Amino acid sequence: MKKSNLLGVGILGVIVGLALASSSARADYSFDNDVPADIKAQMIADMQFIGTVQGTTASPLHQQIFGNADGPTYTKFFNDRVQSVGMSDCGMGNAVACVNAGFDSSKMWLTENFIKFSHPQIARIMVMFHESRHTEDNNDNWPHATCPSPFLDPSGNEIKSIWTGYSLAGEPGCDVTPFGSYGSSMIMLKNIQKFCTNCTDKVKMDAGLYADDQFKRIIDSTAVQQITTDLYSN
Amino acid sequence: MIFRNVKRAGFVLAVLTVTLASSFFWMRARAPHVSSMAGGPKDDKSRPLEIVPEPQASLAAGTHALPSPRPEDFAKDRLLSEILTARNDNDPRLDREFNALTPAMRRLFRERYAELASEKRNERGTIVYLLGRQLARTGGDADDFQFFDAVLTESPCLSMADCAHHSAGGADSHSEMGTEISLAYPQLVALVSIEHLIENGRASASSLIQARQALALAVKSPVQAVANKARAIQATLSRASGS
Repeated sequence: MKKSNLLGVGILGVIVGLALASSSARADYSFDNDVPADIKAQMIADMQFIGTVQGTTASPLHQQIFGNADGPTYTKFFNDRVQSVGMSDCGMGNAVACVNAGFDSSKMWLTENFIKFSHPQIARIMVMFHESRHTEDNNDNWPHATCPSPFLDPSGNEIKSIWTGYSLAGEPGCDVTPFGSYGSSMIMLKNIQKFCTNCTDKVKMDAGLYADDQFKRIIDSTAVQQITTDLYSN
Repeated sequence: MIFRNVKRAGFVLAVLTVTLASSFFWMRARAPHVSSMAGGPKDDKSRPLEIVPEPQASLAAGTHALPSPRPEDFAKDRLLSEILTARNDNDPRLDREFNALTPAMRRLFRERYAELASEKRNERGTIVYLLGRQLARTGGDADDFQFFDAVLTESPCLSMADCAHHSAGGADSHSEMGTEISLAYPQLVALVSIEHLIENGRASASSLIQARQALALAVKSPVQAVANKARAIQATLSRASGS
């Protein structure tokens, strides 16, 4: 092969390599024009962070839902489900994001609260991955289960907001499977807490706090046992 | 001649491409920094931290008899401010740069906490995290515990939009997801720090007494998540001591 050809192949290889290297963090979804620049920048930053996660291993349930506990896997999971991002109030004053499967199941809506409220970064990511699970038409968008009434924590106290008095009892805010939106996102976070090698200690602490909280929303004893065996038994 | 020029141009292009590729891969190797770029220093101007003058003597406690901050103490304070503004919790400097906080730095951080608006739950919690990590490692001093007691007994934050008032938008099982944790975030981080202090087994008897006192305060919290967490730590402590 001539020198000039070799040079050409080399350049092509470098360019292809660059393209492949950047693909792991690429956003396949588009943003509507009305998404404010600061909200868009925050979502991109959050997804870039999750795209860098490196995990030593992953729990069996995590393997089943996502695959490995690493950035490219999470990025692909999200990109495979969310094709566009728009702005909405999601019907409630406190919402950060939502999916309206009846309108467009591949679209995620963000609210101004995404940056207005001071949630830890892992909490925003939890909400985004929770909502991304609701895009799955082939799984009936993983509908939630009705929380039992009364809805008690392990200490026997009713699970409700101390501030608003709002109770989850009788509300569609629970899951009966590890594979729904609450289960999958808490499994993701718990794996990050346990296995992430390049997350800060703060991120891992936060992942544990939010995962443990979301675990309360799993109400089926078999599902609870599955998750306990998967993530809490050692 | 043309062929020679083409060859030369190709060589120059190759050198440029390889240089570009090397820079790119070097930047990717510093991945956590890359993740901070979108919300990094650029955002310092566009989205400054909301600092609300809110003098709280108990929160900024411990200003007595401490040496005046040195330039390096102020530098850490500026670095903390930069990290908080960037909203990147995976900034590796959180693990690297705040491991030996001097009493003056801790005082500055406590003042920073008191200056932040109550609604800055993650920012406040991050400061508690850094002070708490030091507490867990060193056992802390009276000023540290006074600060933690003050954090644990703060008035509950009623809503993410306005800690002083209930949410106007009502509640919804879906949109409330994780909110209880965020509202109680500084308090929960304080309890995690106390838990680590107790777990590491290196705490002095006096530190353990102060840790128990902090837990006793937290158990009385009107915030269920805080009281539950404190009770769980107390239970662990009781099991460990065989009482």
